[in-house]
Amino acid sequence: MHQHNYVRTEQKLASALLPEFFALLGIDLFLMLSLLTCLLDDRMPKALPYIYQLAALAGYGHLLISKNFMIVFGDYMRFWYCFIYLLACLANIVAVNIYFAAVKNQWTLAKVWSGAVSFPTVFISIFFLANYGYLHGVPSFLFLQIALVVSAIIMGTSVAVFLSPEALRNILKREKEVRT
Amino acid sequence: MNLRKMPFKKSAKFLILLLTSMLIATVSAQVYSYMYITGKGGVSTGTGLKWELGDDAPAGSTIDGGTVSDVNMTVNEGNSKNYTDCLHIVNQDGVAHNFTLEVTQSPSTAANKANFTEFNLVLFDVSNATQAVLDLKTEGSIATGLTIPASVTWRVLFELVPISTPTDGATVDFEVELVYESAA
Repeated sequence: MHQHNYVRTEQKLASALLPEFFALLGIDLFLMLSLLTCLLDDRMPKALPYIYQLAALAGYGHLLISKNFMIVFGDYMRFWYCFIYLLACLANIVAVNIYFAAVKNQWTLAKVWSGAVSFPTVFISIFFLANYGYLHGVPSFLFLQIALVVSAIIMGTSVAVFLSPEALRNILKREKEVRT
Repeated sequence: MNLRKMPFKKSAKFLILLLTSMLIATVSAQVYSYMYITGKGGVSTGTGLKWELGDDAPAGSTIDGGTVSDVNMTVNEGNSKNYTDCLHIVNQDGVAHNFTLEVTQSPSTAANKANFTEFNLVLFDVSNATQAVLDLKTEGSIATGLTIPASVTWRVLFELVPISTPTDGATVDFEVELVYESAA
C-alpha cells in the first residue's frame, strides 16, 4: 500500500475581499441609520440614534478582535460572525421600515424608506456577498445571483414609479385604450 | 423636512452624531485597511517558517519553496508504521509565530480511507510534547492557536495504522496547509 501526498506551507494571501468587509459595511450602515433616525427623531424614539452609534462602536470592537485573532479564528468563522453582524444591521433597517408602516401608519415615509434605504442596502449587501462567494469558489451561488437581479429589477422599477407615478399611470391608461 | 428650520438643539445633536460617525467610520476603515495590507504580505526567503525534511522522510520527498511534495509513505497489511522524524517546521525568525495546520484536501474515496484505522499527522515541540494531531483522512481537520517560539524546530510524525486485511495498492492522498502570521 502506498500514499501519494504532499504538505505545503505558504504565507496567507488575502483575497480581494476580507470577511471583515461585511462588518465594515455593517458599521457604516449603523452610522447611516443613526444619522437618519436623528433627522427623523420626531417620529422615532429619542435614544435610537445613540443606540445605533453604540452598535457601530461594537462593530469597531468586533473588527479589532478580528484583527488580533485573525489566524486563530480562520476565514470560515470570521466570515460568519461578520456576516451575522451585517444581518443584524439589515434587520434593523427593515425593522425601521416596518415601524413606519405598521406602527406609525406613515405609508409615504415607509415607501420612501424602502426605496431609498432598505432596497439599496439589501441590494449592495447581496452584491458583495455574491462577489465574496464567487472569489472563494462557492459552488452554488446561483441563488444569490438571481436574488441580485431580482433586487435590481425591483429597485429600478420602484425608483421609476416613485419618481414619476404619473408616467406609469399614463402607460397603463394608453395600453387599456389600445386594447379597447 | 426643512433643514433651515431645524431647531438648534436638533442641529447640535445631529452635528455631534455626524462627527462621531465620521470618527468611527474612519478608524474602522483604518483597521480594515491594516488587515488587508497584513494579509497581502509577500513571501520572503530566509525568514518565517519553513519545512525541512527529517531523517525518516521517505526517499524521493522534495521541498520546493514552501511546498513539500512526494512524501510517499507505505505500510504493510496489519503492521502500523510511524514516520517518527519525517518533517520539521523550522522558525527562522527571532520572534515567535502563531500558526494553524489544516488538512485542506483529502480527496481519496471512503473505500480507500477505510483501509486505515489511523492516518495522522502528529506535531511535537522541542520537549517532545504533542502540540497537534490532524486526521489526514478528514478534510478540514484543523489545529489552531499554535505558537512556535523563536528560532525553534518542531518535529512532524506521520502515524499509519492499516486494518488487518487492507486492499493492496489502495492510496490515500492528502494536502496539509500551514498558515502562519508573519511578523509585523
